[in-house]
Amino acid sequence: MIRSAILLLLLIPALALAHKPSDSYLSLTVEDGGTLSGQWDIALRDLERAVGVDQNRDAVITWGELKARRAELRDHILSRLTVTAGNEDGERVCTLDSTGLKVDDHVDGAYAVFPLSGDCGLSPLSLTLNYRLLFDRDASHQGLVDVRFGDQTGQAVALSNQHREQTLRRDGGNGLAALATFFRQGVHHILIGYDHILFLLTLLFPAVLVWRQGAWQPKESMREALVTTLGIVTAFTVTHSLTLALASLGLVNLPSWLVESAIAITVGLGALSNLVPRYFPRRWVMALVFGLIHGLGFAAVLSDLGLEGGSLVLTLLGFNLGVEAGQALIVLIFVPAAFLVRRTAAYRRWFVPIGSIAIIAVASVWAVERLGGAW
Amino acid sequence: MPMTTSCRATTKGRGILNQLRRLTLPGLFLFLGGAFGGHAVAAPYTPESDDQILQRLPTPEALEGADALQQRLANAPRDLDTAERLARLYIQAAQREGDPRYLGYASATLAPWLESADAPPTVQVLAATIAQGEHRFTQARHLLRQALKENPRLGQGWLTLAVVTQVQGQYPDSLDACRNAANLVPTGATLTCQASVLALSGQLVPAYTKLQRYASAATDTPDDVAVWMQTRLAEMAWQQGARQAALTHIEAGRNIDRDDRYLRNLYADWLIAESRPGAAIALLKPHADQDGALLRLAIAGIAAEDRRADLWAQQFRDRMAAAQRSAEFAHLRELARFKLTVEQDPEAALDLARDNWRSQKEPADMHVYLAAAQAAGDPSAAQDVRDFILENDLQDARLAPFLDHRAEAGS
Repeated sequence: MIRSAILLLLLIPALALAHKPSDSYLSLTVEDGGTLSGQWDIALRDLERAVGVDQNRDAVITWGELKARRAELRDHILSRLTVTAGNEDGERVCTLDSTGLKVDDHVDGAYAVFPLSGDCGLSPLSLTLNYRLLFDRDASHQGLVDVRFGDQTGQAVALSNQHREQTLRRDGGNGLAALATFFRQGVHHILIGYDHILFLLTLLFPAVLVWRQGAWQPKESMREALVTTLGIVTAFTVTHSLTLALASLGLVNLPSWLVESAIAITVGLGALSNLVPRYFPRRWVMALVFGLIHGLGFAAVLSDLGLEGGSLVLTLLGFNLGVEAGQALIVLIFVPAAFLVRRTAAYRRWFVPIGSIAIIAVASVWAVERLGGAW
Repeated sequence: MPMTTSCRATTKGRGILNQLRRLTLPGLFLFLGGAFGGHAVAAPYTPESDDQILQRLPTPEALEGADALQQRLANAPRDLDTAERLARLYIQAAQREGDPRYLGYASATLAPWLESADAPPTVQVLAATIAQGEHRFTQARHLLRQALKENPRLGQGWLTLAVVTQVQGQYPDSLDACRNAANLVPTGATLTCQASVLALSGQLVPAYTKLQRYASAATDTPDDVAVWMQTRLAEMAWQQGARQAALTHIEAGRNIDRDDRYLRNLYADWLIAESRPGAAIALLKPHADQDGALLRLAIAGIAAEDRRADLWAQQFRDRMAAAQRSAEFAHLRELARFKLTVEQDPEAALDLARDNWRSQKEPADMHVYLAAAQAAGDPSAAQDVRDFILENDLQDARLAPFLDHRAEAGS
């Protein structure tokens, strides 16, 4: 056949439709403890291109040839994949190994199947895959990856030469799982976020009391105490939910040192209001205003956890519900207990004022520290 | 996994039982797969003997000399000339074998230059040719514009630009590109390029007549250009409703190159349109490993009431399912045709045809879109195609029935 010097790749549909391009299939399951297991199916044609399998050069790959090259193939493919696990405490590169070798037939030919095992050494919230197989020999190759966190449904992602790395989140698998995970995160955060707890408790210290004749007096009915509590908690919830959403959507963006310092100051002011309640007659208003600042603090935590991958709405909803649940838990434990001891002098004369002063002290230290962090 | 029978070759010494198992298991999986609507199940296995052949590696004629070039490139990684020659071999192999893997090999070969900011225009044109082959049309155009600005004497670049713009329905741009290719590529290529565009923009008959006259008179047309020319002539004849003339061109092209996949599929479409599905099956049966052939086998199989029709349909479904896992799925037109003709699911076909229309605007894309809209009982769904056809004064006998329907409905 006489050829012109030009490449007549000019009839569009013919080419792509004759065969499938090169893909490998990587499936990984990571358990809560950080153990990895999985399998990696790589086309024999691709292994031939990457490492070389057909030793006698007869254009045929036999099982004997494949087995003989197992160690080299394993070393090669494992050097082209990095799995990094992450959670709140940091990141770690997972170990990866492969023992054994099988074969599978896919629609476009035979594939070598490498069982994978490994350990990430931490309980992962996210897995980052960096995939580099074959790109230097076949720029159109893709890794089709399926990652499973424990028994969640798998998350599929395609990695290519232009997109070699992807982080998959524990909750990205489905909506309900995302909601559950962020709900747990919300609860967790409010329970360990002592500045938020302290603020809430500070406001609630006197919920069972009433300021009369220059001193705290016990409230008579549980009903009164509940109305006050509910007002404070509702106000706090409404405004912190608002700013949490605004900040998570990227509509409000303040530097974290400013937010964190402001949170410390709200705690201090809350405590101060217990000492001089005359100047702070409506405590729910204080909860309403300061809730705006605490919401920004929650948003910072949420963005540290990472939002990519999952649905923002579900994430926000789950996290927010978690925060409210944690908050409700604290209120339900504290308020009835305080109600029971409200008549005691220890509570009214000692616990409230001394506690408040202590809180002012702690909050001042935080404020100074956090402001200092800005310089 | 019906493909296993062709992928795993037989080795001597295997018992009859094994042979039987290999025949029945895929059949069983196929049955189950079909019954439950999913695609076939497979499990990794350990081959029984070291001699068992797992995979035959293709050894395309087009790659003759590739090993030597690869070796030379390994010794001198910055040798542009060698890299370009190797990339061209890979692109040719991709075209001949219909195997997109070779396009990936070509890209990887050119990667050191492509990754730098000032890739030479010749490299950019090759990269664009690869991008076009992978249906990344927008990127191909971008690369071509850059390259041709720097060096307007690259005939390959203009031709590729003409093809990409034509597929996207930008006929004036495409015609300009064809004109710019004149004197840089063989005359036959320039004329085929121009006639292809003109045939889609209101000048079908004169474009056909002129190219046909050239084809019968010229003696110095390189074979690959001649095949391209006959392919386009066949399509133009069919566009006019002249099916016999179309067949003459298909045969003329196939006499030069019996292995041309595009022409073979076109011939199969012609046979199906002529209600000769049995002949189409005979033509394509040896090429069932190729998706395009499989699609037509499934269609012809139904028409011929062939008992293998379900098997072909299931194989095509499996291939599409595998291909759809990739990030870039380039088979929308074919999948739309499959949904419409084989699975008789016009709604699904319509969705696919509509998606496809965003990136591809060839007559076949119009046909499947219009046909799906009509089958779905919603002819107005394909209004954008009708507008496009009117705007460009496009004539095509195959599209006419769908357009008449609209005229009647409108009156």
